[in-house]
Amino acid sequence: MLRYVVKRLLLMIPVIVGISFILFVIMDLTPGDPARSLLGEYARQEDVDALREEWGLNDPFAVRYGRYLASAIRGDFGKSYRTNIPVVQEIISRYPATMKVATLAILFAMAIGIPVGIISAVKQYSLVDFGSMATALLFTSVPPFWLGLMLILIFSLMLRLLPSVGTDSWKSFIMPAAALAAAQMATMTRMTRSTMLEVIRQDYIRTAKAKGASQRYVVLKHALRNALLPVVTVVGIGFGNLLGGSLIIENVFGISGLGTLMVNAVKSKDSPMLIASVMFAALVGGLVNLAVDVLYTYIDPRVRSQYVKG
Amino acid sequence: MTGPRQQDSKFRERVKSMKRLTSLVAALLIMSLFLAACSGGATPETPPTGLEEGPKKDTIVERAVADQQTFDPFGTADINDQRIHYQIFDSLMRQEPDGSLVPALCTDYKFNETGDEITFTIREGVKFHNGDVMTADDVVFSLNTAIASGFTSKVTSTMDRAEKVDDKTVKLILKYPFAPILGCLVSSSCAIVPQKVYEADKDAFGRNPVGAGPYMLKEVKPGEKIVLEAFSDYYRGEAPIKNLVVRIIVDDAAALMALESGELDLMQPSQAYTDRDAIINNPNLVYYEAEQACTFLVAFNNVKGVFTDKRLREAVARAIDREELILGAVNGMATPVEAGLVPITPQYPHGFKGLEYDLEKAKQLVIDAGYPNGLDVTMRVIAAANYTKPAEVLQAQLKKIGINVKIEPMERGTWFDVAYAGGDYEMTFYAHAISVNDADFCSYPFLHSSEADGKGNNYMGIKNAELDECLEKARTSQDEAERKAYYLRACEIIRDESLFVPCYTGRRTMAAVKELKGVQADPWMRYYKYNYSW
Repeated sequence: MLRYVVKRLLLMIPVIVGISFILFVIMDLTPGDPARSLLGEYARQEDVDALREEWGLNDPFAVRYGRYLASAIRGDFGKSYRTNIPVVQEIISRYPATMKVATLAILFAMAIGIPVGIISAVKQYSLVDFGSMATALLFTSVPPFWLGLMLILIFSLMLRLLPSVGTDSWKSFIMPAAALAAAQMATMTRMTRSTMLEVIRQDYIRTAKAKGASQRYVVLKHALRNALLPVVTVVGIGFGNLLGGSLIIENVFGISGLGTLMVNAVKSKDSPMLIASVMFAALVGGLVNLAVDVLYTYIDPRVRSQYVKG
Repeated sequence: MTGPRQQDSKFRERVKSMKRLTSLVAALLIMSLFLAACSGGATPETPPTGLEEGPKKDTIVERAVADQQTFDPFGTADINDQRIHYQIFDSLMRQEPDGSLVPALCTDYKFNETGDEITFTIREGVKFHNGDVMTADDVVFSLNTAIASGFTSKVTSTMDRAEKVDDKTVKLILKYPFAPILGCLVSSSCAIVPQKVYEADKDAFGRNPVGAGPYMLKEVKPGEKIVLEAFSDYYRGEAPIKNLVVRIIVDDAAALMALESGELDLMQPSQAYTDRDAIINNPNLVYYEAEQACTFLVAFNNVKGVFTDKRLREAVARAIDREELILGAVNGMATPVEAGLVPITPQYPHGFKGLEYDLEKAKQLVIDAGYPNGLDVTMRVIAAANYTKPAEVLQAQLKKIGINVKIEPMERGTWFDVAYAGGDYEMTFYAHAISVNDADFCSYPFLHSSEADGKGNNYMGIKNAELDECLEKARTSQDEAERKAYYLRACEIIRDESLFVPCYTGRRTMAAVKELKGVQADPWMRYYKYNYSW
């Protein structure tokens, strides 16, 4: 198992390097001069040239990329062109907000999506089933920014219960997390329902029922564990995405997270910031996926046995 | 050991409670959506919980639309950064709400006979936020640092150097006499900073600034909020508003709701004017308007392409219906402009008439230029509503005279690279903005031949000897009447040669709770909070 984890971690290195290379190429090929962008339209050409020289932008691509990689290996990912602050420092200062919102969102989604999915499967074609599926469809369809604005309208403007902007207290995270959770929740409900429906028709479920256990016991004890595997995958993918930051929700709720940082970096052609933040998001995504794979082994003895054999 | 029946009852209990919880949450969510769909306008009653920022009447919470890049006044050209700088730093001069220029960190100034040197008597006893007293050395250092910076050239390009005359006197030497120089010294790009602190660590200064302005930086949550507090030793007396909280809210709709709910006291409304009615109709809010410090215009590439032919430029000028353009582009929230300057500048020739709207003549000009069947042109514009929407209206207007415009929206940086700096465009829609209230700032950089060919901001490639002469004389003359005459002639040349087509000036807006006093829509975006009170 440990060997597998180490192997997966090592495999992430070429992925991260590949991402940095692709982003370097994209930022190099797209028009727009970061020095001009920062200095403003009235800047003297000699000042623009001097800043380009200072940032090493006049060197050939290979030299610049090689220099970047060499610094990155030493842990120096450069300074932001916009703020002149080391990019790692910027990411560290912004990431907690993204992580809090993402974690809360995934918890909301799991707490509601999985139980509702189970109930829908068990009560297939009932009113509850139709209601939950309709709600899931609605949550999948509505854009998160709209949902965010509606939540602000209700809970901030009308009911005066929650602050609409910032991250000053724990209350500040409820609405952004709920807005982000909606789509994840809908996916989890549908996924749990469909996998549960498959599992509860298996022979071993019939056997369990024949032994005299009630349907609820059978569902929660025997069926759910087997149905959870695809759900865990969905949770993992969803959590990985959320940890990459959500620009729209961050913009609506005035949260300073990774999404905003990345988009500001794109707008100002702030390559060091963009590359480092995307690499960071990729790293987090990779680690979450690895965690999901490891979790499989605890949920499903069949998967665990493969690693033991290996 | 527990049997299946006992386990079953436990599970039954769990399922029951889970079911109750799920139903409750689902009901809440559905009810929320229903309420949202049914809700109309809401009026604030009490502020929401969770955003207590100290005693309300001591504090202003305002909105910023973008994150602060730096607090170094010499390290940014960003107008959003500068809005905070105007609260932290003071300069030698200050612009009062009525537009007049008054001494700030100086008590007196005197021009030499040739007008290319100004001697300032610095104000005594001015303290920086760290308690140090401002000296002549600080002033000289600050001005020379501003002059050397690549970020400040908009206002420092005519300055040569600053010199200390004695402990109370500083001399600013210009490259040549420059009429609007005092206005330049208002800019936060010419802020006075303590030499010792700035020199010790420039990067640290950008994060922890020390100025002589009315507010000190207290707290920064990058990308989220900036908190300033009043400086008790400010030389004009402590500001009436003790705390200033700046919240970064990018989304216009979210910002409006925060203002309506009482979480914000002040905000820059949407520049698309979409929230205007909601604010005006709210009895607790006030919507402030002023003319923008810019003129939106149709620009031509005067160097290459079809618009090197004056007849085509004139055809465009005669085919533009400004009122219709304003209605379609900005919902009528603009004022038509016929002269090629910014209307709020003191030198603007009010009553000036541009070329008459005449579709028949415009059609004939297109035919005369050799296009009896019309022609196709591309309009490259910045991909933002304030450029693309007018472009669409212009597209419809020019189609009437046989000019088929293909609009090519480009990301702002790309547009600057390709069109503005690279000169690769046929026509565009742009705004000439000014940072100092003087016609020089909307004319010389954009129209003088020395700024063409990639050397400056003359992105239209205009080279007209008479226009050059007017602009040169207007910027160096110390006689205001003479300057106005030169600018009037410049406007006539722009119109007669159809060098570009001035269209309109928009509205700068601000929204605030009605109890907040001293608020104005500031065309210069300085928003001195020192003038505000509850």
